[in-house]
Amino acid sequence: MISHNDYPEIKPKKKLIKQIYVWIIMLVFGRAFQAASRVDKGAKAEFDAMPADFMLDFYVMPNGPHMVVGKDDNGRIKYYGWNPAGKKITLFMGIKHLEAGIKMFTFQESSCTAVARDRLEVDGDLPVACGVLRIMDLLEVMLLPKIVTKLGVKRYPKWSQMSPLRKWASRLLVYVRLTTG
Amino acid sequence: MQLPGYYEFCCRVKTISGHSALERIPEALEKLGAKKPMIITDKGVEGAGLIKVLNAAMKGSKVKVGAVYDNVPPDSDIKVVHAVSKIYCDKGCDAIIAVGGGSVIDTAKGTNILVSLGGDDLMRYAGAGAVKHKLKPLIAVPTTSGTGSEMTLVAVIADYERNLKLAFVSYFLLPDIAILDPRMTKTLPPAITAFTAMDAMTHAVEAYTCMAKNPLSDSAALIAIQLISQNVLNVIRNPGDMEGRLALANGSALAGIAFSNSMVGMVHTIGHATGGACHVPHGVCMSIYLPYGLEYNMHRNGNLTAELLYPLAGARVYQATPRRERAEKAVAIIRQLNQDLHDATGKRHARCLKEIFDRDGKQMVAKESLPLIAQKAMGDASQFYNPEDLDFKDFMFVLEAAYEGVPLDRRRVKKG
Amino acid sequence: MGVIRDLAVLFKDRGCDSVVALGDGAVVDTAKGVNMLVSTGAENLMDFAGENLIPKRLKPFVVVPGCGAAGFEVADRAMIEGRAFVSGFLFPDLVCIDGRMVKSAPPEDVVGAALVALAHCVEACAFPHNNPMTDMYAQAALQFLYEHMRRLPRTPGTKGCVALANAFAMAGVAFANAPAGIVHHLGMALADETNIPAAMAMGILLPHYLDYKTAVMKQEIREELLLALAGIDAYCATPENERQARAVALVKGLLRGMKGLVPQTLGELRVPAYKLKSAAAFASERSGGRVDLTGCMTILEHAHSGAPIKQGRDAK
Repeated sequence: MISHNDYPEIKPKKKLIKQIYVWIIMLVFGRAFQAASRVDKGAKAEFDAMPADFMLDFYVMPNGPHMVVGKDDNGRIKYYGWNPAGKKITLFMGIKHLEAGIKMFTFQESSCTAVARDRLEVDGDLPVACGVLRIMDLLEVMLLPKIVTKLGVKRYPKWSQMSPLRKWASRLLVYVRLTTG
Repeated sequence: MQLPGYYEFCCRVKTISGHSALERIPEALEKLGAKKPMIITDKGVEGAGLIKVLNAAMKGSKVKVGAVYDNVPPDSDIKVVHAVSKIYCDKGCDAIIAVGGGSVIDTAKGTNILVSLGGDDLMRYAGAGAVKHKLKPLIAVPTTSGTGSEMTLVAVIADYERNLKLAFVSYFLLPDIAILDPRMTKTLPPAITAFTAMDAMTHAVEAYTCMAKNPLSDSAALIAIQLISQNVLNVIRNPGDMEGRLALANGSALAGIAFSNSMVGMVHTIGHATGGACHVPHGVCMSIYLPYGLEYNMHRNGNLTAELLYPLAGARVYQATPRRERAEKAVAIIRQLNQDLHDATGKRHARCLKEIFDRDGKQMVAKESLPLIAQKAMGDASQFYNPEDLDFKDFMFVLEAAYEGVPLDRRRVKKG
Repeated sequence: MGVIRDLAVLFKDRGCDSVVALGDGAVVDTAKGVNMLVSTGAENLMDFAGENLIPKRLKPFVVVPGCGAAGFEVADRAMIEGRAFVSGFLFPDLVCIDGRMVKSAPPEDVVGAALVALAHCVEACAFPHNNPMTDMYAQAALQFLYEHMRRLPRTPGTKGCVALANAFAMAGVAFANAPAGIVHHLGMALADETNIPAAMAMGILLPHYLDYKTAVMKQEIREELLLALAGIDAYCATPENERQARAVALVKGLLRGMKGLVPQTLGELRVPAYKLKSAAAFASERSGGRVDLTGCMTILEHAHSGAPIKQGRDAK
């Protein structure tokens, strides 16, 4: 006869450092979305193609962190913080677990690899989700040194596709707006 | 064989394949705990007498068909799904038997979502992973070989009012059972046999050459390509070849398993967009774009395309072709297959975009529509699985070549 | 049995709703037993022993295999107290292969599972009663098995173990969906009669069965076996009339290469000759007479002595 006391319930641990890291990266991404939409014409074009009620909740399952980004009444992209409560979310994009989030946000897996490895759950319009992933790739190109981004994105844009002037100008302006809001 | 760093594979569909497969349906329904199925089909299938064949196969069993809906349109429509769901509930049905091609099976999947999870707006469940519970029993009986939808976790249903194509992706959409019975494709006209077979071929080829490939989908793809290339022309020339029909049905099912588990790439990206913009049947788009997809990606996955020469053309041709020429030879074989199908179907099988005509002889894809197709392609998620990136200009580049039917100038492909 | 009953009580007490089995063989069988009890509420587990006696779907069941899989974890069966339970409801819902669970393992742990998987896959796809669906699983498994079994008796690293774990899972599915072959039946019968590991028996029997099939029954071995083992390049480079022989040679080479780990004859395992007859009779009956009693005895006798079955296998 086995004793039930020999089999205590296993309580999953928290991964505090990883959670904090992902929280910071998502904060940066959220503000970068907003900044890039004002500053880079490629990002602006992608956002313009999105519906007027675009409100994205990008989060790590099951308990967050969240990043809420959407169009305000004037159609401009705004970062709405990390609390989805009270917002009318039209697109949920969930990263299935914290480790997958770490892989994405330490750029070990690009958004394409993440999709290919089924890391994401999308509740909502898939073409809009595609736009979001393309913008994330664009942000990686703009914000990170080539040596990091090249591992991530499929095709690092050559000079003919994104002029260095645009890349550096966007990079500078996005970083400035990121920090000043 | 390469083992990817990470992959997922799921094929829960029980396959019953053979010359009397339909007769197993009553027993299958009983095991699933169902007695009152609803049959969902379209006028074409009904007109070909296939529902009569199905009913005869179920005669004498305890199964009582609760309702029959035979008006599914050629492209699945959300309004139809809502209407069919209402009938299902009103008649107290407890299972669905879908008899038809991709559109019928997708409609059945959509209906199954609503009747199992409740509500009256299918849109609530759109997305990847939004359907999170097991659905009611669904038996898929494909009548084309084919879309492979009997094996896939995807359903695409259009909302014409909002001008959207809704995609539903979830393991719970997989049918419980797929019935592959050659009686269901015996009377398929040659032109449709040709492009549905190329649809299946494209699924298998893209599954093998795109980014989410895994060992099981590769294995399925290789077998599928072989079954299709060895049988499609014979079946078109001898439509009553039941062994050939069965082989194509299995090839199509395996191709469905392959791409359901490793997704597809740019051929589907552009194909979906063409279907959406110009209403060209899916399989027709696939046959035309397949060689272009392989050419565009060749600098990335040419080694994989080279391996496909074996199932496409056989061991002798593979061995006789020098290694560095195999990828191009594989593409040439596919172009030749399109040409042979063009000849065998009395020139009805289109080899390029400008050769696609509707029933009234009108050209379906105008040169002016190409930018619209490219624009739509930008919104399709399958491009993420393609080994190389595509922007608007790249889509136009491929479309222009496919319009004229000339091979792609690979020197102009922007390499990452 | 007592353990299974106790665990079922624990399951209910804690309000669990699913089972995750971590490990191989007996662990998974036990977990399947627990799942049968808690999902059906039955009192006596043995009510389900046999084929297709489970009345309904079981609770969600996940298997996380280690590296010593017996080959039946992923299949539709469980062996509990010497009785076989077979039912479609026993298939796990999910098999989760993670390198952290399947770390580098000593070759002794791996070889048994590899032999079982090899025998099952060859029997599933090498003969003309195959079907394309089981081929898909069996051929994929054979590629990995050949690649990594060749490296035994060196210790497989983590990558090798993950590949082998994949192969074992795929082989399990192929086995569950194809009619069990003679090598399986003979191996299980011998294990029953003599307590030698079934895996070793199957490994020893396999090449002799292949010889018997080609030389005496004059039946074909599908060329696809060579394709699966050696890959497209080697397959296409081999002339058509040599492919069958080459495939058999590769299988034999694999087994000879594991000389230190795997006994090469039943005699080495000290199987008494008088036990062969009952094993042969049992296996012949279970296989539905596909191979008759004389045939089974021939295979067993040659596997016992190690002498190859009569020449002329190339004369077809």
